Amino acid sequence: MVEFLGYAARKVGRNWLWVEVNEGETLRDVFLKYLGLRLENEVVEALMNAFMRGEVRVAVNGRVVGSLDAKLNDGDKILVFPIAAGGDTCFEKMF
Amino acid sequence: MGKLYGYAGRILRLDLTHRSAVKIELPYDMARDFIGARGFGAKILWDEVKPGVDPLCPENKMILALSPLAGTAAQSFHRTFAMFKSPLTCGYFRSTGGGFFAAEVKSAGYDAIIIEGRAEKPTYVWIHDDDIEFRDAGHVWGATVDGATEILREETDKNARVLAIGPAGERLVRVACLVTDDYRTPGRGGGGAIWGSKNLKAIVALGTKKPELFNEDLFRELVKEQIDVYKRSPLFDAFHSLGTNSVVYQFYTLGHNPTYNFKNTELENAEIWRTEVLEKYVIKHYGCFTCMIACGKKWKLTKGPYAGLLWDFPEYETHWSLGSTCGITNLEAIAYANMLCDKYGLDTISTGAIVAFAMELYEKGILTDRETDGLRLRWGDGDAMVELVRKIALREGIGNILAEGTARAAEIIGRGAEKFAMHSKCLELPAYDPRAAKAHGLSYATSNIGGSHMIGWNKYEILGMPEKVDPLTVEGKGVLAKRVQDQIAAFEAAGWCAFAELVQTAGYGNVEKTMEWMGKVLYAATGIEEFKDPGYIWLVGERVYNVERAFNVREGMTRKDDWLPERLQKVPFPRDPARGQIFELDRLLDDYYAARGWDAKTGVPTRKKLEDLGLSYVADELEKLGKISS
Repeated sequence: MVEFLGYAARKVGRNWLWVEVNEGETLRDVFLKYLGLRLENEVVEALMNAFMRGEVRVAVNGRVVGSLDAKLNDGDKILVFPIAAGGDTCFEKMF
Repeated sequence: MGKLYGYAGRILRLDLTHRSAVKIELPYDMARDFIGARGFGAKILWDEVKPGVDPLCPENKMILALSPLAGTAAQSFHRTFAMFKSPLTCGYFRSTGGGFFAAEVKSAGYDAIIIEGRAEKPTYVWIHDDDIEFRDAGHVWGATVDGATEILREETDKNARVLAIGPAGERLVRVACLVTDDYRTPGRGGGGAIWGSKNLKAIVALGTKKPELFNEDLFRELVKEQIDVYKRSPLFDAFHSLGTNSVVYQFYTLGHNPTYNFKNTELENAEIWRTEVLEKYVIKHYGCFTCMIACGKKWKLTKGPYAGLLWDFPEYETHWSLGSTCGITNLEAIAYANMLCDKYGLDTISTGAIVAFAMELYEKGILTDRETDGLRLRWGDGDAMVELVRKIALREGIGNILAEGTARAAEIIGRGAEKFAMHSKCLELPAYDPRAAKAHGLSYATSNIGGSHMIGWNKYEILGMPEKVDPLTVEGKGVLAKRVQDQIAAFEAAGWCAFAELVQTAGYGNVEKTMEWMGKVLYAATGIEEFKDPGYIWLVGERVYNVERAFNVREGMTRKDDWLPERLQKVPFPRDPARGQIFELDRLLDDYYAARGWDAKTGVPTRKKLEDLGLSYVADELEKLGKISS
């Protein structure tokens, strides 16, 4: 399950998405391969760039990860969130 | 030693026993060595409150102290800091709140107010520039904070600013607080009970003076830089639009925001704290004096039994204390109880934590319907929580015991209740679980004021900024906890708001730049040369922290008081992301004392450490009392 918070959720247009990942796949795969199929490229790219700049964080099962190379397991919960949620302008600046 | 710019230059001593007001010149050395606000409070308490004094007797004092930047154009430095010996912890305490009161006191011409003695009958103090009046408060004694504030403004000046207590403070409830006219609260530690014990209902202030700055041009330039950094900070927009409500749900998912009195099992319906739900209640944004972040929100309730409420919103901590730690996800009940706390003058954190404690005792059968007068204290029952808040404020029934705080109430109730009292040094623990953030938890255990989230709010572990630190590891956490405690002590000696500092640090991307900016702006305002050096500002932070510690040592506190409840040390955290974690107290304490340069066996600062910090006089007194060796 991928959960989005705050302006990330607003931009994605939903709070949750369920994706199926294969053994050994990473967060990068989730963004590029799976979210890319369901969301506009512009949104996925903006999320990934914001992650690189540290403005958006990603946690797997509640633990914040430092890289999109983190490997995933079946049933993992992924949270995509701004450092603090609320407001729109920071996200708008990403585009 | 030159002239002191920026400061008002005077301390006001209010002796309630003799109804006397004395204006004292602010000593240059104190300004240089302690900057202001929390620093002044620590220094004056050390100098003037003798060890062993009963916190609720006339000999205890409260110091209200401000930033040298209060009342200037600098952003977010306009807070009231209240320092006193706490009736809850029986040790040093510092509590702080925003609003407009501090700027008004500065405008009236004071950097600090020392409150001492005990008035013969209920009294309020009207400060109008140099004129100080002790006035009868009999007609507002017993009134809620909002009601009393309205009346006192009518009979003084409608533009005056007010700091007051409510019925809880008058009844010496140990978790009673001070409340400003705009419901900002120096909330923790029982400051409201101190005022109640002194028969002091309120201080009303109005001033017309403007501080003279050392270098206006440089000051203006630095404030402009501050505004630019705020605007580009990744935290600004979130804090502006939702305040601390921007992190409630996020923190829950990251293992903070502990549920069910720190049993911390999953909370069904936690999604109600998602931002898109919370923002629907907001009808107005407002801020403190000269703070563009404006993190304050007004909430309106339009449905359910509490419909019609229009009040200050519950902060992150309050959503937790009156919500998740009681298993409550009824936002309307939380908002209503938050309003009751403001009106009665109760610390929402401790009050909610006490309700959770009582709910667990009820679950375990330690409290029954007989003791609660039939009030069924079931987890998740928002209406029962609201009723218990009222009983605590008015010391009614079981509320009379709970008004003593969890630690004392557990002793009175007995039957194993102490196992469920979640406190450190008798201060109820706030909305983070030490098992899920070890340096942050270490600050709970070692904090000079007891279980406070503000003394060492660990942005490295909790927000992963300015750099990410794994919150679950133990290694290096002594150094990290010390670093953050000293940082915060320095920022608070300058009277800065913790949220605002966070916004600025996120904007710069590192703390060093923030500290450098703060030193420069303090210098531009005051002309004190030493402030230009960020290393000196760090030193002041550590100095303040050590004076506070010395105060507690003088009161008899040692390593044994740096403690956390058994549940956190022995019961593994039950949910992601900290599943299986416990809090390794002894190991973390050893690491911390080493980082602090304190004696590992006793947790007492060494003479060398105190001398390095320019505190030889503190070391001499501790030695005289046999607390340290030469």
